[in-house]
Amino acid sequence: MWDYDRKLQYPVKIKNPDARAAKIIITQYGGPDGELGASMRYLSQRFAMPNRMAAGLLTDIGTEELAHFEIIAAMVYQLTRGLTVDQIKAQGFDAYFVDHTTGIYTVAASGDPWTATYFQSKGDAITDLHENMAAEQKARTTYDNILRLVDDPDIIEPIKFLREREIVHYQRFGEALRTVQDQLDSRNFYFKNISFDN
Amino acid sequence: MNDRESKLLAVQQADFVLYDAALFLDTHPECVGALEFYKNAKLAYQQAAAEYEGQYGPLSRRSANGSTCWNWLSQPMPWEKEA
Repeated sequence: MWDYDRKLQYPVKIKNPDARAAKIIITQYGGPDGELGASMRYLSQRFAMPNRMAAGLLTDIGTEELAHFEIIAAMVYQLTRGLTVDQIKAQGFDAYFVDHTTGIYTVAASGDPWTATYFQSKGDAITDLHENMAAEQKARTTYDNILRLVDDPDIIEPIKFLREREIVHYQRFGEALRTVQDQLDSRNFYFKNISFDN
Repeated sequence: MNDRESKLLAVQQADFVLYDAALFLDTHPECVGALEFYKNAKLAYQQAAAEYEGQYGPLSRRSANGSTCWNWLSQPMPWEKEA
C-alpha cells in the first residue's frame, strides 16, 4: 500500500506566472510520454515480473513517477496563479481555461485527455522492460523539448531534475532486463515468455 | 497461519486503525477523544511494526538496510501468496 509524504521530491518555487509555459509543461502530467502514464505502466506491469528485483524496481520507480506527477502539477499550479482573463487569452490558455478554469487536469499539450492507450502491460517481462526503456527515453526527449521552449530558471531547474531521473530510470531498467535475461535460455531469449510459460 | 503471516496481519490491522483515526481527525482536528485514541493507536502500530520488522525485514523503504545485502527486495512482494 501507499502513504503520502507532505513534501515534493524536488522543490517548485516559480515567481512569475506564465500560462504559455503551463500549457507546454502540462503534457508531462497527462500527455503520451508523461508521468501519469509512466506510473500506471510500471505499477501495472510489475505483477508479470519474474523476479523480486525487477518487481521491486518497478514498484519503486512507479511510486517515484507519482511524485513526478505531483511536481508537474505544482509547476502548472504556480504558473497559472493570479492571471487575468486578458493574460489567459494573450498567453493561449483560453482553450484549457474554458473547460477547466485553472484546475489541474490530465491533458497533453495538444489538449487531448490522458488515455490508458499511452502505455502497454503485455504480460511478458522482456517486452515490458523494453517498452519501459523506450518510455524513459521518450520522456527525456520531451523534457529536452520543454527546455528548448522555456527560459525561466525557476522552471528550468525542476525540469532538469526530472530529465535526469529519466536517465537514471533507463539505466535501472536496463539492469533489471539483464536479471530477466539471466533467467532465460541464453541461446534464445525468446524461447518462452518467462511471465507465462512454465 | 504462520508466525510471519500473523505478525503481518497485526501490522495491517494496527495501521488501518491508525489510518482511519487520522481520516476522522482530518475533519475533527480538535476532538480530544480522537486525539487520545490516535496516540494509543500509534503506539500499538509502532510495536506491531517493530515486532514484524525485527524478524522479517522492512515494511517501508525508510526502514530498509543491510550490512552485506540490501534487504528491501528480499521478501515476497505483497501480492504473492507467500506474503
